[in-house]
Amino acid sequence: MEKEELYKEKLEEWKKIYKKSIESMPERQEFKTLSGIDLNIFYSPLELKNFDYFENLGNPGQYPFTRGIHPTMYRSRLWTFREFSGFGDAIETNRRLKYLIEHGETGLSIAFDYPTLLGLDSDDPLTKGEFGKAGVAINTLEDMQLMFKDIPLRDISTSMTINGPAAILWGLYILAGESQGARRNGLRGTIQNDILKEYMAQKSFIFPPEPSLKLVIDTIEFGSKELPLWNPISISGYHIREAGATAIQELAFTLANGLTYVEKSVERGLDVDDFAPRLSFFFDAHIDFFEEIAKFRAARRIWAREIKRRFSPRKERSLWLRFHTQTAGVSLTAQQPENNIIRTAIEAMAAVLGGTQSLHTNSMDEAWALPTEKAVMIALRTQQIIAEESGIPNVVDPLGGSYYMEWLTDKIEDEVYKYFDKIDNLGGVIKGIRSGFFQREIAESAYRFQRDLEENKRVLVGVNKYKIDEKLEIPILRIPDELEDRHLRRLKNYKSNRDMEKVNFALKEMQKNADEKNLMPYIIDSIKAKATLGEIVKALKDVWGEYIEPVIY
Amino acid sequence: MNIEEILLDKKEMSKIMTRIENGDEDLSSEILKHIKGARIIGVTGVPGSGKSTLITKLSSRLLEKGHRIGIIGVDPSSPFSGGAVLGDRVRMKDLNRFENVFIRSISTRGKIGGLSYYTADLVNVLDAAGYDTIFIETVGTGQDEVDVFNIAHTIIVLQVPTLGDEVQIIKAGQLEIGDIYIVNKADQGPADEKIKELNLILKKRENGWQPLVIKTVAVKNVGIEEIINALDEHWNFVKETGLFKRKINSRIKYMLKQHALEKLDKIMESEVVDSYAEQIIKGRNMHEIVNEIINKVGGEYGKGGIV
Amino acid sequence: MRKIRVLIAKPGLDGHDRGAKVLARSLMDEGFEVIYTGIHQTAEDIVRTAIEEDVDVIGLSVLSGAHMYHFRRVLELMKENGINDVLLIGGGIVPEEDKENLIKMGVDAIFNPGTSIQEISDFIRKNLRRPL
Ligand code: B12
Ligand SMILES: Nc1nc2c(ncn2[C@@H]2O[C@H](COP(=O)(O)OP(=O)(O)OP(=O)(O)O)[C@@H](O)[C@H]2O)c(=O)[nH]1
Ligand SMILES: [Mg+2]
Repeated sequence: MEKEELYKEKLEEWKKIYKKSIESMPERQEFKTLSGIDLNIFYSPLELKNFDYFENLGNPGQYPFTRGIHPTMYRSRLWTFREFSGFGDAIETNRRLKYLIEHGETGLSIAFDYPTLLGLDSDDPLTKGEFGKAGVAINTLEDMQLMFKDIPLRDISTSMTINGPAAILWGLYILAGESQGARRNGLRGTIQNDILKEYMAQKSFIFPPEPSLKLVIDTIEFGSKELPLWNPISISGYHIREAGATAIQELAFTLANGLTYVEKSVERGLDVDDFAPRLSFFFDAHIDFFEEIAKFRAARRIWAREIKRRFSPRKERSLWLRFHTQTAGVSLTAQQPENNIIRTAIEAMAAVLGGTQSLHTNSMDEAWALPTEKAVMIALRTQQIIAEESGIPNVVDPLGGSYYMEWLTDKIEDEVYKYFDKIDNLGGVIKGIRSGFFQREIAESAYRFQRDLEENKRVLVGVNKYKIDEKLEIPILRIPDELEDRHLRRLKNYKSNRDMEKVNFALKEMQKNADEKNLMPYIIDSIKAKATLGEIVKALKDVWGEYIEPVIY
Repeated sequence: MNIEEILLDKKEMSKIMTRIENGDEDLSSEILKHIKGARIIGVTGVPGSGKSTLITKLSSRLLEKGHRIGIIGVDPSSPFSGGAVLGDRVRMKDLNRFENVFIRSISTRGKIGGLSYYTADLVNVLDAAGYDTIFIETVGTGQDEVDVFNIAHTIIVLQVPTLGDEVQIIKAGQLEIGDIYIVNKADQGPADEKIKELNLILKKRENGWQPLVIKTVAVKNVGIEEIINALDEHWNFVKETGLFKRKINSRIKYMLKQHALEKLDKIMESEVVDSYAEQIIKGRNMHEIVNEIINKVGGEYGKGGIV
Repeated sequence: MRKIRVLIAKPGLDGHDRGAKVLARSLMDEGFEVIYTGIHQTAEDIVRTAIEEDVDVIGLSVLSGAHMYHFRRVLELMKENGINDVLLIGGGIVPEEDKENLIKMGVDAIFNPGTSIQEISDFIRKNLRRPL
């Protein structure tokens, strides 16, 4: 480093003034990031001795893509405004989707209800009390068609938060699209389909890890051949983070999962360049502004390096880490809910400064219920203000080159590699899941976070500081019971108007080929025979069994 | 009402267990009069080796055959707070479809050895209530968990295949107490090597029993039938060789010892000890003090434990 | 003093277990014996466990929006089984209005997000229905 001696000399000088200064004005507390990284009071070239612009950053759109995957970033195209939504039945959700499109949303994002997430039809006794509460219930092709009635699937991109039964919901979507006249190879969108993080964090798994992973690879293979514009997986850190992980754990576990999918796909015989460009990611934007931005930057860099090193792709696109972001639900409070608008705005800014491709901003009523229309509108407007008024998107990676930002990006990268080593030593991700490693790491962080709150080591405004007595009168979204009746009638009708022989034949064929062949065509055939989601899942459970997780607290 | 009738009501039986766990010795002695001689099976092995899963599978099978099953799952207590999180039931959810099974989770409450002070007493409650087969899942630290040997007629020791180059030496104590050795998770690694190894090391016991080694995949129900058979074989052995009688004797002796130890431990953890410590420093005779403590166990702290 | 036993259960299909696990572990720190049965429990599972484990408290954690249904079922089964000396409390995502209705139905307390563990354990200690 040039002038290193000078910097050191100046630092010694500074230390003297600093010492004097803290005598009369001591520091208020210890300073750490939200994830517990110890922070210096400031950063200088001394911390970036090995910094090399082209090695560490590159220009936007150039390897290792730290500054962004596109040369123009938001100058050409803003990120996609995508608000997660869905509740009640297909018809009701269709109404909400149209409302969002009308107000400037540029991509759809579907939330499914609990029964659907777990592959159960709404007439299953296990689903009592759960209909439509946390998302929309989709059991049949008819439901899927109704949900997108008058929404042209040829033109819009749709993201579906579905994992255990993702392949089946995808099949339903493909057929719904085709029934509108949209060609398969033109459909755009994402299924979350990231089963590994289900065992770690979200807990909507169905089958044991091994067959589940096989099914995911089936979808990646199928997508690479038949739906070239579709993202067959959204490798998600969001859930890991929200379950309690730190930023470092979020990134490390997510990238480890991602690398596992790539490995398994290559083992299947796929060419990395045929599917890697369609892998997408999904991260959390939490409240520690700089740490989150650094995390996004580190994510792109690590992914590009590791894919290059391990799989030597020919296409540059295979190195891109494209991601969706959601602001941190868990950072939002039930108390003084209006404050959540501010938190979300800060988090959304971090996502944009981190170069996200798509964004969901949470609503102020997050800790009370699914959002009301008003609350969603404010959340959407938050993005629009950042995009259209703030000037933030004008320049690519504006924080690049900041001593702090570069140091923090490097630091996160280092810590992520430490986790990679640990995971390798455990024998990989699946072994780590089986032994409870990830679950334990996440639970431990969640517990520590709670302890910090209890001991007032961490402040949550309105919760453990600046509290007020308030009578909460925020409007709550209610799901009318009629929607369930309407849905159940439709389901019954659907089930009574079909040829059971055809249904059973299709399901049997699927079962026979469950372990050996790519299941997508069999699933699609079963749907065409009018099998329901619940029936298809049940048939696969009979072959693969169900997963019961070890409890780790 | 007579105690046997009370025990027919699960809720009442459960409350009796709570009282016993909190040191009601009169109740303990009353229960002891009603035990019927259930078959007691101890299951031990390192954490996560599949103890709960195995017990669930074995129980399902036995329940289908008409047995009444009692299960006691022991988990460690926190050395700091004395509290505990008890989680063995999670794996046993499948048993909820049966009526004739009773599962109780207990914490070691600070005791070492794999069981709590009153585990034997709780086993007696289940026995007296007519549960004919009782499983005890020990803590599962895999170390020094030999207490169960005093209570159980049959001990199942779980092992998992050695993975890669990780060395997994079988703990000496575990090698001596087992009647049936299970190599579980055979789907996850080279189980046959482990089996060979076990067959080499396990010698015929003094009482004439040659320990059996069985390979299983508990989650997939593989090997369960073999264990059921092995259990029957060992049960016959227990009854034919007089071991059954001897075990009742050892269970009662063990109980007595635990009751006494529990009181002693409580005294040793109370403030009383501080003053003794001071006295020792000041030169008082150790023997005298120990006698005084022993007297306390029988005296003021005698009944119902220290309050 | 005897140990207070608490069942922490997640009824229904809800997979939000962060709060339940943090709570289980924190109550252990408070010296309670906590029985945690994992996700996806039915009301039948829960009440049976409460009986066999002879708990002082049943605590339901529900973030799925299906709280009205699950609390009602657990209350029904508690009544059927003559359980009247056990506290029934809960937490998670429960709007104010529902909270009031649940209390009217016989639930002892509901704790919203942001409640400190201290507050929860104090409540349990003060409101136990059985002598210590
Ligand atoms: C974290 C989170 C997630 C994580 C969960 C990770 C995990 N393993 O737990 C992830 C990202 C995976 C997730 C997924 C989903 N989520 Co979510 N999630 C949240 C979020 C942001 C925070 C919950 C949390 O963990 N808080 C931290 C813990 C410590 O607090 P807590 O659980 O509230 O517990 C405290 C109190 O409530 C109380 N308490 C809780 N339980 C109990 C029990 C007892 C006995 C007692 C005494 C007290 C008590 O004490 C605790 C300490 O204060 C909430 C919104 C919010 N801000 O609350 C949404 C929220 C719960 N999620 C929601 C939804 C819809 C979902 C999904 C169904 C979305 C979908 N359709 O795909 C999925 C389903 C996942 C599943 N399998 O269940 C909705 C539920 C809507 C409703 N009830 O009407 C919420 C409210 C967000 C929203 N407004 O839309 N989610
Ligand atoms: N692959 C495989 N997994 C198994 C087998 N048996 C049990 N498991 C899994 O191993 C994990 C631990 O099983 P448990 O039955 O809880 O083990 P345990 O010994 O009771 O564990 P602790 O009580 O925590 O000490 C669970 O995830 C089981 O599903 C098996 O034969 N093969
Ligand atoms: Mg166990």
